[in-house]
Parts: sequence; C-alpha cells; structure tokens
Amino acid sequence: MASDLTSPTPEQTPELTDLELVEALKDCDTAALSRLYDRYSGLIYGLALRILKVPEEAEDVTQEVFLKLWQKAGLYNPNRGSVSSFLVTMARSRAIDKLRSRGSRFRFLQRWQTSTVHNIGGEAPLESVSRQERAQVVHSALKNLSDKERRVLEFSYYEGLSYSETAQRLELPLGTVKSRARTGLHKLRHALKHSL
Amino acid sequence: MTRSNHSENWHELLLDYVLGNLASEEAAALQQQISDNPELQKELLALQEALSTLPYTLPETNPPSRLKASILHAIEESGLQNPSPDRLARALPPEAKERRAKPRIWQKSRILGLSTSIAAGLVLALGLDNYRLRLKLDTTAQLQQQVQQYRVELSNQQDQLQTTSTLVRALQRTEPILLYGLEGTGQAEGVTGRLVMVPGREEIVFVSNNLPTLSEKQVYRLWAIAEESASPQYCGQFRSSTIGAVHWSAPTTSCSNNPIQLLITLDMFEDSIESAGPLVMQGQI
Repeated sequence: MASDLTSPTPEQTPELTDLELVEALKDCDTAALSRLYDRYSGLIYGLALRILKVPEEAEDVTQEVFLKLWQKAGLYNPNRGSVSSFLVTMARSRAIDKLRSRGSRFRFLQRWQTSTVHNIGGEAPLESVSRQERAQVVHSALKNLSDKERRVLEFSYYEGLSYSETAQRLELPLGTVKSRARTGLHKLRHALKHSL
Repeated sequence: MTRSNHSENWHELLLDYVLGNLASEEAAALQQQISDNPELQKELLALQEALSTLPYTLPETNPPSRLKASILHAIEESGLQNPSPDRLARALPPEAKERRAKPRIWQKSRILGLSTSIAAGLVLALGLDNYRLRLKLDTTAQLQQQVQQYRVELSNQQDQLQTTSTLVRALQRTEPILLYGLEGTGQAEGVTGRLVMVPGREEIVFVSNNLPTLSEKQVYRLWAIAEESASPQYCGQFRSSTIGAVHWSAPTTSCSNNPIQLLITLDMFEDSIESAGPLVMQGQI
C-alpha cells in the first residue's frame, strides 16, 4: 500500500496503490483520478514549470496530463513502467512540445506503446514511498554523478535537447556531451538499482 | 545477435535511445532487436525509470488549488464522467459493471490506439526493410559498425546543416557583417581561415582549411581584442570539423563589437578560461 504523504486529507477508503487507482480509472472512477492528482500534481506541475517557466502553461500541461490519463488509462501498461514514470514522461513530452511549439518530437504515445514489454512483477520499491522520500532517494543517487555529468544530463532532459543541441548550448564538444550524458544516466540507473 | 560480445554497444544504444538521441529508424531497429530479449528489455525499462526520477529533485511546487476543480469540471462538462461512479460500482452486479465500464470514450481510445499502433507498425516496417536485408548479409558485428558509422555521419550532417544555416542567416541580414581573415602560426602554420560575425549578435561562423584535428580533450578557443590595450576576451570554443566549417555562439554579444584583432588558441577542454593555451591563429578585419 502506498503511504501518500502528499495528500494529507484523510479519506474513508483505504490507501490504494497507483496501479489500483489507474485500474479504477478504467471504470470511470473520478475519485481515483482525484487521488492520483493529489499524489502527482505537484511533481507534474513542478516539472512543467521547470521546462516552460510560465505558470499558466505549466497549468495547461498539468491539466492535459490528467485529462489524458482519464481518457486513456487503458494505454497504461504496468509492464512498461511505473505510473509515476508514465505521467512524468507524458508531462515532459507535452511541455517540450509546447516549448518547441511544433509537432511532436517526442511521440510519447507511440513510444510508450512500442517500448519494453518486460514484466516488472509487482510494485517497484519507489512506488510505495512518499514524494519526499522519493526525492531523498533520487538526491542520494545523483551524488554518484560528477557535477559535470549531472549538469549535462539535467540540461538535456529539461531543455529537451539532443546531444548536438546540448553541446552547442553549453559550448562543449559533442563527444564530451555524449560521454557525460551517457555516463550520468548509467550511474543514476545503477544508483537506483534497488529502488526501481 | 552476438550480444554478449557487444554489450557495451547495446548499452550505449539503449542510453542514446532513452535520452532521445536515436533517429526514428535506429530507434525502430533497436526496438525490434530487443523485442525478444528480456535482459535488454529489463535494462531499457530500468534506464527509462531512472531518467524519469529526475523531476523528484525539483522544488516541490503545487499547482493552484483551482486546477483540480477545473480538471474535474472539464470531465463533467465533457460527459466523460460516470454518474456517481463509486455508488454505482458497488451497487451494480459484475456483468453490469463490465458493460458500464465501456463507454464511447474507450471505443474512441481503442480506435486511436489501433491507429497509433498501425502507424507505429508502418514506420517500423518501412524502417526495418533495409535493415533486415542487411541483417541477412552481414554479421552482427558488421551491422553494429554500420549503425555506428551512420550515427556519426548523421551527426556530422546535422552539424554541417546547422553551420550552413547560420552562415546563410548571417549573410542574408541587411546589417553589416564582420569578416576576419586569420592565419595559422605554431602548430597551425600554413592554415588560413575566415571568420564571420554580425555586430551585436552571438553567432560566429569559422571556415578554415586543414586546421589540425584535436584529441578528445583538446579544444580551440577564440579570443577578441576590443582595442589596442585591452585584454583578450574569451569568445567561445570549438573543435575542428571534417567539413572545415564550424559555428558556435559567443558567451556575450560584446565579442562581436568590432574587435580589432582575433586570436585562436589551443587549449585543453578542462582548462580555465582565465588563461589561454598556445596561439595557433590570429587575424584582423
């Protein structure tokens, strides 16, 4: 069961996992959407705001993400990643699309549908802890990256840039950017090995 | 696929894929290759999950409280909301609940999902056509090498296109451009180059012949001298390219404020810009 520290309002219903709530969305249960919103709206809005810098646009992205989740909960396949990852990926994609104000560079839905089919085999450890605890785990994992690796990784992630675009913007050689981004993600993945 | 011999290449491809740096055909080919490989699927999933944790480190910022009400209202207005879902869910028998759980929106969703799948399938099929033909003829190692070469070639082509576009934009402008001729010295003896800047802008294009190729850790740095007694000002760095033309953005527009002299030095990438390495080119307008 998820210990949801981000939604302090007590409810009569027992705390449901993310997956159980998404399953409930398929039955058009707005209470489930409300719970998921309480759990993830801060994360989604914060991400959109970081990318777009404009509160109104970040609100638009947050609204689009949760409406899309409501309309297309059937697209979510737990074998292809956590609910948190699903929402974050969708929010980033939509925010960057807005940023670029053109067609979908990140064809999120297509990519989600054609991506991995590995069976996770149950709830990931990070799914069962609060937003604050997740943040602590990720902060700790990022300490394994050098400042330069983290900067390149975060810059390309939040700006939605390719290696060559990142190299140009940071005025770094392309090879350096590739190396730092790859190494950074590799280290992050292994530092979170027991949390994902 | 002799993956065990090429695990590093596969891992690099997975990293590039997750970081959004594979062309669509490469991505489709990669997906095809890992579709029956649980180990690679697991690794891909772990990388995607790891990357999606980055936003957890952002300051927690909650949206305005009205947004939640707005979303729920939008659902209600669109007629997508199930009336009293909780009560109905508990009251209805299982078979009725199952029927109720399939309103129009889900049919639309399935149609959209199917269309997306078909589109994705077509892209995959087209992209994989040549790939599969080559797969029959080549060994996996050769194929990997080809993919790597294509990626490098694509990257070079993108760089060339960007440089050309920047140069064209600079030349199309009505305002005056600054054109400097530079001559090599020291390690770059005999090299000549032309550098284009637009006053008040950060874009710089540099074209040269035979500028020595650098090691991974080296970089060329441009310095501008504004007036006779002024210290050189750092104006960005670049690496030699196979096409002889590079472009970059200066850290400040003051670099293009009619400097009387330009210098190019050879530096180590990690070197501070407080000092400069050996001079390799210099020139004036």
